[in-house]
Order: sequence, then C-alpha cells, then structure tokens
Amino acid sequence: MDEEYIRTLLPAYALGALEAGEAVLVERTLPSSPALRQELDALRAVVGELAYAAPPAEPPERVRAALLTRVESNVARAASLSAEAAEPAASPWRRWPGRLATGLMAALLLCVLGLGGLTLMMQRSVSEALAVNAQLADKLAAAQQLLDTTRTAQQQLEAQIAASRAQLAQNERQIAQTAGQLAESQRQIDLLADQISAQEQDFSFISAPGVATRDLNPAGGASNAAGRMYMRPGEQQAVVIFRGLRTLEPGKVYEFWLAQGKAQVAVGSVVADADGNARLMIEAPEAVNNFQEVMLTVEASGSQPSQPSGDTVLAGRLATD
Amino acid sequence: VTKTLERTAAPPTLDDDALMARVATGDSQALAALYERHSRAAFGLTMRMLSSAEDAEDVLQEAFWRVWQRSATYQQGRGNFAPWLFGIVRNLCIDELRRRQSRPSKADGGDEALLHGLPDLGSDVHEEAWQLERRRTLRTALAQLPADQRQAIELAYFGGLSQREIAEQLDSPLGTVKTRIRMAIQKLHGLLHPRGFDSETL
Repeated sequence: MDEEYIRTLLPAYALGALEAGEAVLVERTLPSSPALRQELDALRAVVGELAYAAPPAEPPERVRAALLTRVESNVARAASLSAEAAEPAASPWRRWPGRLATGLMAALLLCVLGLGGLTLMMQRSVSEALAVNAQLADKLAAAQQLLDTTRTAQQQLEAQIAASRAQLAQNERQIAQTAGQLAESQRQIDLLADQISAQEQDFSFISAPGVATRDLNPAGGASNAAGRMYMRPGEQQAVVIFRGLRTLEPGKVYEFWLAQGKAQVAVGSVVADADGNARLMIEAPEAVNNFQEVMLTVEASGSQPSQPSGDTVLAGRLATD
Repeated sequence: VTKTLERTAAPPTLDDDALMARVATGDSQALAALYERHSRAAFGLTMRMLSSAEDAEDVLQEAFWRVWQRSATYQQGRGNFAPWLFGIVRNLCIDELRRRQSRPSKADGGDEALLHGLPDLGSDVHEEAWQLERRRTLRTALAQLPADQRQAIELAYFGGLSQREIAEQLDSPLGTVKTRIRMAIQKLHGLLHPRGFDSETL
C-alpha cells in the first residue's frame, strides 16, 4: 500500500472517523512503518487535546466514592484469595477434635517438617497462580479492548452496507430509466428511418424521367395552401406534395380525391406537420392520367365517404387542354 | 488491603506515568490521585458528548475502572496518559450514543461551543493552571481554523460520527469532509506542536 496515501488517512484515523475499510488499511500498514507510527502518535496527542475544548465539570463526590469502593472491593477480593491459598495447611489443624490420642498427635508432629516444606511449595504455587492470573487479567483487558474496537468496526460496516444497498437501489432505478430512454430513442430512430425511406421513395419518383407535374390551387382563393402532383402517364402511382395546410380541428381530416367525369375516388388521407407541410403517395385504381381532376377536401375523420362532402381546400386539373 | 483511601491531591512529584506504574502494582491511592487530576476534564468531556449527568457519571466511573483494570496495557514512558484516558472516555460515550440510536442533529452549542467554556479553578491550583493554559492554547488554535473545519472535527470528536456520517449530516460531498478533517487536524498539529502539546512532551 502506498505510504503517502496511508499518511493522508492518519488524521481521520487518529480522530476515529475513518470508515472500517480504510481503518483496516491503516492498521495493516502501521506495523511496517515506524515513520507513520510516529506521525500517528503526534496526531493522537493533538486529538487528545480536543477533550480540553469541553468545559471542565466537577463530578459528584459519589462517583469517586463508588469508584474507590469498587477498586477496594477488587483489591480485597484478590487479597482474600491470596490469603486463603496461602493457609491451606493450618486450617485442618483447627478442625482436628481434641479427643485424638496423644500418640497420634505425636506421630503427626513428626510430619511437621514435611508439612512446612509442603506449605512453602504451595505458597510458591499460589504466587505462580497469582502471576498467571494477572497475565490472564491483562489478556482479558486487551481482549475487551479488541472487542470494543471490533464492535465499532462492525457498526461502521453495517452502516456502509446499508448505504451501499441504497446506492444499489438508486443505480437500478437509473438503469431502468436509462433503458426507457434508450427504447424511446430507438423508436424515434425507427421513425426517422421510415421518414427518410419515404422521402427517398418520393425523390426517386419525382426525379424519374417522364414525370409530369400538375399544380393544385386553393379552391376558395384566399388560402395560402398549395400542392403539386407528380405523375407519370400510364402509371397508377403518383406523389402529391402539399404546403400551407392549416391545422384542422379535432375530428376532421384532409381527404384526397381523383375525379373521372362524375365519379370520384378517395385515394388517401393527408396529415400535415406543424409547419403545414404534407406528402401523399397515392395508388390510383387505374392509370392516373385517365382522371381529369383532383381535389383535397376536409372530411369527418373515420367517415370513409364515397364522395366529397366537406369543404374543398385545393383543386387541380390533370388533363391537358 | 483494607486501608481507607483518603481524598488527596496528586503528589506534585509524581507525574501521570509514575502514578500509572503504581496503579499497575495494585496501588489504589495512585488511581485516586489520577482521578483527582483528570476527572474534571474527563467529566466535562462526557457531559459534552452525552448531555446527561446520569450517563456521564456512569461513563466516568467506568472509564477509571478500566484504567485500573487495563493498567498493565498502558504504554509507559510516552507521557500520553491523558490522551489514553480521553480515548477510553470517548469510546464509552460513543457506545452510549450508539445505544441510544439517536445522534445529535447538531452538536450542542454549535461550532462556537469549541471556542468557549472557561474553567473554574479547583483545589489543585498547579494542575488547574496547567489545564487552563492548555485550554487557552487549544482555543486560540481552534479559532484559527475555518468554521467548516471546526464543525467537521466537532461532529467527529464529540458526536462520534464517521466521515461518511458527517457528510450525510451536513449534506456535503464525502471528499470535502475528508479534506476538512485532514486539514483541520494537520493545522492543529502545526499550531499546538510549537507550544509543546505533542506526543513527546505531553
């Protein structure tokens, strides 16, 4: 691990404000870096000074009394254990009844020296046990400290996990939102591709050799609407380009008609864009040049009329006089 | 050991390390002397963090009990008893705050609380004078920090919050909070070191 990076973490580590993962990085690096340890000691001293930013307060006397009672009780208990362990050979004597025969007493007295030696051995054993006990107490205290540290690290990790889960949920929402935007973009691309394809089809038709044009003019005279029809004699297909069409009220639609004598045929509906422009590719029932007139009318949408019934917007003649 | 512990001031000839050496041998009077010397600062810290006299008393007693129990793990010769004690006190306070499962939405008294709080002199005039000087020096150093840096270390030290928790509480980017804390501690180190408040002399 880069020592310089670890050095940047030391202030927050000394303050106890690092997240658990970063704290582990610091703790792994410290044993191998005396310089970092020295720097950490200095920063810890600074953090320790922050305690003096709190106004001092006189604790009640009962706190001191309770503490010292607790400590004295602890000391007394340890001393009692030590004393009991040191007098195991004396107590049995007090329990011997006085009626024991003098001879037996005399025999037992012969063992005094041996018992004295045994007592000394037991005292040494007790001393050793107390030393071991002290070591165990130290280890217990260290383990308690480690447990405290671990508990704090666990709480920090749990907080991090909760934060990560919230972030994950947010990411999933963003992914779903992005997928929706992507689908919408794809739909618009498809729509544009269709329009480009239609325009290329129109262009190839309009620019083909032998194509004749016929203009459509406003039927009422005052409109800005205009149209031009591209047709090829002998063929049933034709393209009509419109401009200046006004936006119709809801329920109305532009309908394009071919007229042959008194017979009129609807060959398609026209939908203008926001600028009033529109195009229509028609497929006539017979060669387009067999019809004499064309017109664009306003009809009720969905009515499928057999003949024009609404206002005529544009009209034009196909036959040349 | 049945001797009664009298309330005595810390012997002026014994520094903290010397008293801790005695505590490690089971000398409860040495612990009492350390209590006399540091209990007011430690109790002030617990009151500041917990805002509850009852909880603060429990924490103070438990902290000095741990000093007694863990005296063997104390590193002698480095003059760092006070930071060690305050570390124990602070960890106990943080445990208590987490038990409450409610953090202060803002440190009591706000950022300015770091700058105020005048001590009243107690019976140990020498020790109190020394602590008063420490407080004045610390207050001068803190006053030189930008307010946002003071606020960050306030929340970390007295609120027991991690950098991420501070960022969430202040609604600030985590990187900004990290920078504030790093710069604040480094600047405090630079300001306090020349005055003798470092690991070598404390």
